[in-house]
Amino acid sequence: MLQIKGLNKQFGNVKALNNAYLNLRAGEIRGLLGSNGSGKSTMAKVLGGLMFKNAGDISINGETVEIGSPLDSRERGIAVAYQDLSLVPQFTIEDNLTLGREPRTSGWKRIERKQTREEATKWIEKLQINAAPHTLVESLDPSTASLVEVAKALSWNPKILLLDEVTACLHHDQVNRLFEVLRELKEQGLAIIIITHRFDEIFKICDSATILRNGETVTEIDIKDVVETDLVYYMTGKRPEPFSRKSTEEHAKKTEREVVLSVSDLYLRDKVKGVSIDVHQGEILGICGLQGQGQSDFLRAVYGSVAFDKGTITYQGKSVAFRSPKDAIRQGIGFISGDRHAEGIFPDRTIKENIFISKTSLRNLFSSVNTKKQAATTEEVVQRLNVKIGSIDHSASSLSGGNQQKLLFGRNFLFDLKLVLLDDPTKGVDISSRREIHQILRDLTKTGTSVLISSSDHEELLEISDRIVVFYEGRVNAEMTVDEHTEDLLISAMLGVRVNDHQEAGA
Amino acid sequence: MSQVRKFLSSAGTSGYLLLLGAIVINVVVQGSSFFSTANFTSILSVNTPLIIAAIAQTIVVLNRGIDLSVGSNITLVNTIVIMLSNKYGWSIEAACAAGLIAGTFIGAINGFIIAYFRIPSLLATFATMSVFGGLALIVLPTPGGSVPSYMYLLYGGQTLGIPNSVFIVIVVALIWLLLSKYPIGKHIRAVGGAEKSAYTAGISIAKVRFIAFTLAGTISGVAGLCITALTASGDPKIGLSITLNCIAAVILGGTRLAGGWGGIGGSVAGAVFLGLVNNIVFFFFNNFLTHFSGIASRASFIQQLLTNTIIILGLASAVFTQRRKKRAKIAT
Repeated sequence: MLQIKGLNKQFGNVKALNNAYLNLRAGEIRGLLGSNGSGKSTMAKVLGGLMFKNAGDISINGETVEIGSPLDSRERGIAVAYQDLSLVPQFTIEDNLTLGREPRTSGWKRIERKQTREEATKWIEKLQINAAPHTLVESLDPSTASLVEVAKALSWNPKILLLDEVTACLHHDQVNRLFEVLRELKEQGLAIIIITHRFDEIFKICDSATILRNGETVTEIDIKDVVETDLVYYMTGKRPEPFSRKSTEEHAKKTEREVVLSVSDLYLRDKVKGVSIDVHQGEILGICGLQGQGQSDFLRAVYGSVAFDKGTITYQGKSVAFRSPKDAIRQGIGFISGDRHAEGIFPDRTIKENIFISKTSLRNLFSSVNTKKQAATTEEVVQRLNVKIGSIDHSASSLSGGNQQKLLFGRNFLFDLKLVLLDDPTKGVDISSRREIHQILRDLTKTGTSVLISSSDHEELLEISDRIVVFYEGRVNAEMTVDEHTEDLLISAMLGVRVNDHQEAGA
Repeated sequence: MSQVRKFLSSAGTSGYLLLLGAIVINVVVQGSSFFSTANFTSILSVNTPLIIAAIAQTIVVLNRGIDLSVGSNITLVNTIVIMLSNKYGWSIEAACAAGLIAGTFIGAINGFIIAYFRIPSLLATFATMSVFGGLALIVLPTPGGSVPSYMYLLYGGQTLGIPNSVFIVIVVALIWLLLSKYPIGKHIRAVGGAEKSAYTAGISIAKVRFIAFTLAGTISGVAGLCITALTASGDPKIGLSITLNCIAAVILGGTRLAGGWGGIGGSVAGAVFLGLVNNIVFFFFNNFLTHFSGIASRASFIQQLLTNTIIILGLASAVFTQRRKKRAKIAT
């Protein structure tokens, strides 16, 4: 029914999709799998008309189609429920369901309110959505809103339905109900593509799976022919092996050191649900997980830029709850975000200013800045971190992503740091700068600084961390000491597979 | 109880409550003379241009835009009507029709720049504000001219005890309420509320935005005709104060500047509130403070000071109620 061949999509130099293919029959439920950044969502957006392919063929029922807009996509019978929702929050559920295809009265062609209400009611009942049709979407909780997004896609009566990680914030019973409806629709000949990270769901609902790795289709398989470890193999290219306890001495030794930061049972709205971790002196603790499993929120709660609801944070033996980043900085905690445009760099200010801002932030607002000293300090930092710059008076935006990131490191080095929190610091950073950043982190730990680093790239964490905790749905799903066999276990833990049996006792 | 709750959570609440407060204070200060038909008619007819401009502004704000050229639009329509009827001898009806077309055209130009060149409305209309304001000065360099007496008599008169200007407001409001029953009305809000979602639903963002600004232009044109009938003359600076006042009215009326949420009811209430505040301050000065000679000579400045202080308090309360609503929503 749907045939995709040689699909390519590039963003600058990054290939999001590279020769991806997919073949789908009517009445089939297909799982579209792959780790972070493998191109699943990109494929969904290309099919939905939100992005345009660079090359490749898409054909429906044997007929080649060009999808240039969401309207095109819809006219071909494709409906997509997006992960980040395509609802208008200020509208009611019923107005959202019919947006763009409002039923009209026969004479005056006005919007037919009654029919709108009836249609909405039908889908609300079918999916057992716990809200009235006239409820505003902005007042719904995330799981209900996700179901409304699905209902919206279904209400278009598509021939091909794409669900992009819609189950991520659904509750268990909601997922079950949704799957019942999907099976029913499948009987009626609907072709369904489901993007999900939850393995149990794949085995429950999917007939087959298409697996992407780095934008390429690795294989298309029947689900009944495979087991979990096969899927992990296709996604990573490596077979999971039983966990071995051979942790290097150095890693182990570090856990015997003094605990710098101890978090216990931390709760933050529905993002973080009871996380407890210890960070030892001079240790690099990696936080691993799929996107949006609470890592960022956790780090920000520790740093004091968002207030947590429950739990205790003990830092250097004292119970603390920083009310603002300023408090955290004064106590020797640094924070570096990978989202440097939003949370780091002042792109139009000079490199000098960008580095020195941290120093000035702790002083009186009207204290004078010694420009000579500022320049000298900056030069020193730039050399130490090997930032490639023209001059310290150039604007920060003149630097590459990696060098901008190094500026942020430099900014934090002006403090006497005891603990550095990093949220995906190497996002969009080229490989050589990445190496240098890793070296900077290792050097830091030699002076006794502890590092708590979250990253969407698990290989990176394996490379630099002493220990890794894996976040899944706001909880710590696994905690492990790094050794050469951890990767596959890590992936499984990221995907929510329970690895308790392998988990280090008492860690 | 649920009716009360529904009222309190509707978009225009702050506008209605402020209006109610202003009426109560007016009655207290002015006594029964507030209710005289003459007073009513005068307050409403004087403020009709602002009320209608506030309706135009609401449509644009619902679309997550802002129109700073409303005042210039009104001014240009006013000067065109006066020039055509006085200098070129057009009948006043024909001149008014031409003025309305000019207003629509101004809106269409705004809409075209904003929708198809994707220039933020704040910047685009800031520029066109000066362009159309300048054009008005070319059309009619100095204040002057007149309209036939039946025009302003009709505008300032009453039918069945209701001021005629109210009917104009009702007609304009009905046009928007009717459009709200059609997809276009819904799509204007959808684009304002969540542009990406609207696009995903297959709505043409540019087309909807263009229509919203053009419609606002037409309605501003109506406001321009009203002000012409009210002042019975032309003035190339007449609309200047309306631009910011109508934005204030929209905010007072509880429409979110972030788009997608609100309605014209609140804005109309907000505009009338502004009018009543002016009225009460004016009345207060005329009847109580004129006895102090030191104040009387600076009365108009002090009046403005007082008026605007009240407006700030009103705006603060409108923003405050919005914020509280939002918090209540998160808590549930």
